[in-house]
Amino acid sequence: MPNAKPAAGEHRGFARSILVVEDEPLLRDLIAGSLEARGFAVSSASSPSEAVREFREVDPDGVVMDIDLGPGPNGFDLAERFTSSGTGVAIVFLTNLPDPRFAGRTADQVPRGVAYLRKEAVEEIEVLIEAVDSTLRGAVEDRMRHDRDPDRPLGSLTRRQVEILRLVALGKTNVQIAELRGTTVKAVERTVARALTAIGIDGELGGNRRVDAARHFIRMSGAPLPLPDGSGSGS
Amino acid sequence: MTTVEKASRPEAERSDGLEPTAPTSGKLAPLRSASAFSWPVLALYCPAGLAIQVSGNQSNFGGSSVAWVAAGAIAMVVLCAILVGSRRLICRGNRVPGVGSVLLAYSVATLAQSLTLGLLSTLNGASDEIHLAFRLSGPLLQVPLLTAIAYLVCRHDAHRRKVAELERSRARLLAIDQSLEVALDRLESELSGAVRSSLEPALRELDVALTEASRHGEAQPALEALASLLEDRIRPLSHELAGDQPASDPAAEQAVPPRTRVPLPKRFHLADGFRPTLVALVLAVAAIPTAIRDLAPLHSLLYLSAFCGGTFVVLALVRKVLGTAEARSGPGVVAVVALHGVAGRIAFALVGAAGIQRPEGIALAASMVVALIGAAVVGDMLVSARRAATEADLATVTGRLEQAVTLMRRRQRLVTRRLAFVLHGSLQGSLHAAAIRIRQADDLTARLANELRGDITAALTQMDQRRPMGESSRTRTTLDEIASVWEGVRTVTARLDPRTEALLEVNDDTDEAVSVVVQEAVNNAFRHGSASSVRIELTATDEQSIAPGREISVVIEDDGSATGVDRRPGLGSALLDELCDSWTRERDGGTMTLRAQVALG
Repeated sequence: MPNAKPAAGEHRGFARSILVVEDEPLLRDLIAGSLEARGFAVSSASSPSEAVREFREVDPDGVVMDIDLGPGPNGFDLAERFTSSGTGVAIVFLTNLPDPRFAGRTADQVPRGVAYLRKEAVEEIEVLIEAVDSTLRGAVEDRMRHDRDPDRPLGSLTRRQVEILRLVALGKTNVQIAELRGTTVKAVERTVARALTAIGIDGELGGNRRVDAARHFIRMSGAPLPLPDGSGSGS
Repeated sequence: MTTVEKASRPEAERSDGLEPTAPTSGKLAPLRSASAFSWPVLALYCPAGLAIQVSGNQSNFGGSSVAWVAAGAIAMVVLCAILVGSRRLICRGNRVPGVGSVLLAYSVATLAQSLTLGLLSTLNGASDEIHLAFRLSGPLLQVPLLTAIAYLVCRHDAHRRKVAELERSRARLLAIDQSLEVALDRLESELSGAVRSSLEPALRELDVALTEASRHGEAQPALEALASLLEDRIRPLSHELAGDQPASDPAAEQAVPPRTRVPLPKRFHLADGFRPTLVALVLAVAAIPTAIRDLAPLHSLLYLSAFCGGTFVVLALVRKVLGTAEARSGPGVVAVVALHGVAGRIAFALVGAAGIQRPEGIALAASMVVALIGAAVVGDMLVSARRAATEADLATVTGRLEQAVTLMRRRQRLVTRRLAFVLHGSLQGSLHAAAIRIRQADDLTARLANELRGDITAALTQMDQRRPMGESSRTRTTLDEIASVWEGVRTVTARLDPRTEALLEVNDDTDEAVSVVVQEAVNNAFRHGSASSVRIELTATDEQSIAPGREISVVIEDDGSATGVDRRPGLGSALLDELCDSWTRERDGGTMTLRAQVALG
């Protein structure tokens, strides 16, 4: 790893400790290595339970974590756990998800003062280092909240539209979606039409447009596995 | 779970040579079958009907037996021809006949038979006229007899259909039982192979791009290839794997066994072959035409009451005398039928002895009618007795079959879930890491390109691992994880007794399925229901009707709200359907309870 950068991990001569929670080993090692190279004291965890254990033992200044950590508790659940004791821990989410809606959360359910970075938007590891540093200082800037970026993938969709497009991507028909949501088929058709317009696919949702919409959603969402309750697994 | 019933039932029945039939089983429902016109009905009716007709006609009109037999046989041919024609007309295109159309066909056929007999009797000199009133009353006797025989044959065929179903299920079960593990392993290997093949072209393209990029020192083509692999192949493929899939039914593809034989009970209690009330009632209907033809109304009533009542008494006495005596089915049936004939003869004799007016010359016919009704009764009894045992057997076999199919479907779901996990997790993670490393590197060297290739290959090899998700797919680990993550934030109570835990440890698929069900339910309660507490109870059930089918009972209660789209029935149900034998989710006051049974095996 390049090691010629300033030691962002040190504060008045003391290394600041960071817990990296990432279930994918290559990424975890890469992030941990980069943070260590910048002077942070890094511990890492590959699962939620390991993260809780490390958190207890290390009492880190900050946590860099993925949101999708497999089929069990996710990054938001862990954040709720870590912040519940009022430790003031700094949190940086590093995820595939464009925003919290894709993990079944609303924007206001994201803890205050956290940074939210999309993996695909982190072209340089410096972006992460900077976000960690800012979060530790309690000075998160808007550009470190990729979940609020108006140009983020599928950012123009409402939560309801996201949910319905997820069901479309799962191969559900309008009738099935209406049954699942307890609404009418007409209402589903209207929501779908608006969602299509929002993502730049014109016309009624039938035939190829339905396939296009599903494909677009899958490509853009970076969403977790389309399990029926909207929770997911994977990195 | 009734997937084993997906096999096309009418197709299967035709391949077994069984008749189309109505799917109901009421009193007269057996007549709603093409079996009502089948050759066994004619084969049983013709000799009996001929004997009754010859004896009745000869005693009434005199003449030679040979002439009456010849005329009766020709008349019987007419009846058979009309019934065969009726079948073609009524049951064309495998249509199920109605009871009314069956009875109408019987009436027409027996009337034609009776008139033919009358006509022939005048031609051969056995009778000087056709005796129209006598002939028109013929169907009143023939139709009930024909109906009774048809009822019995239809019941027998319905039972045979059940037996055929049982044999098909048994054959499927045998095939699955013998090869379940092999089939499951093959399924896993085929799925994994299909995913690899699907990714191969894109991986080759990535390899070429990495080589080119390292040769020219340009990172951009490699980054584009990485993005393309991620977005165009891996994400859609992992969605496809983890999404809803049409459930395959391997059992339905098993061969249907050849024509089945109905195994009747080997022995039976002789007394069970006697139903005096039923016999007396059918006899009354059958004896009416002769009575009203030959006797005055008051005498008819007296004769019918005495004859049918006498038959009832004699049969009841015989049944009492037989007590609990048993006999082999063959000789037993002959004995029961003979005893019915004797009972009818005795009753008829008693009527005469009591000085009650009775039709002349029908003693033999009366005896034969009672014997015929007795044959129908004992046949029905045997079929019914066997049918109950067959249905119980069928329920057991079908249950086991369903369980085997459930296990296969569950394995399929778990395997696709694991593969999707690898694709979406490890492989996607390795591509992200590769992209970051390429961007970080000052130069994309051949060494770095090789390292990246190695990382991606290593991620792919996880597809071959039994547990790519590691211990997180264990129920014990899942419970510990949930408890540790939510400690101090929400209340989680989990109960997993040592015996259940030990059973889970040696049943990998069950363990993983229970783990998934628990994860989904808890995620649902906390994330979408905003529950503050969850109670999880996992226990192994012992008493199951279907051997060896022990199950793990999963009960998960939470105090979350019922609102929110993800809390509505339907979402998550596909996963539960595939992983559980059965499940229910219900709200009682402020408590949402999920109860699921996961097969152990």
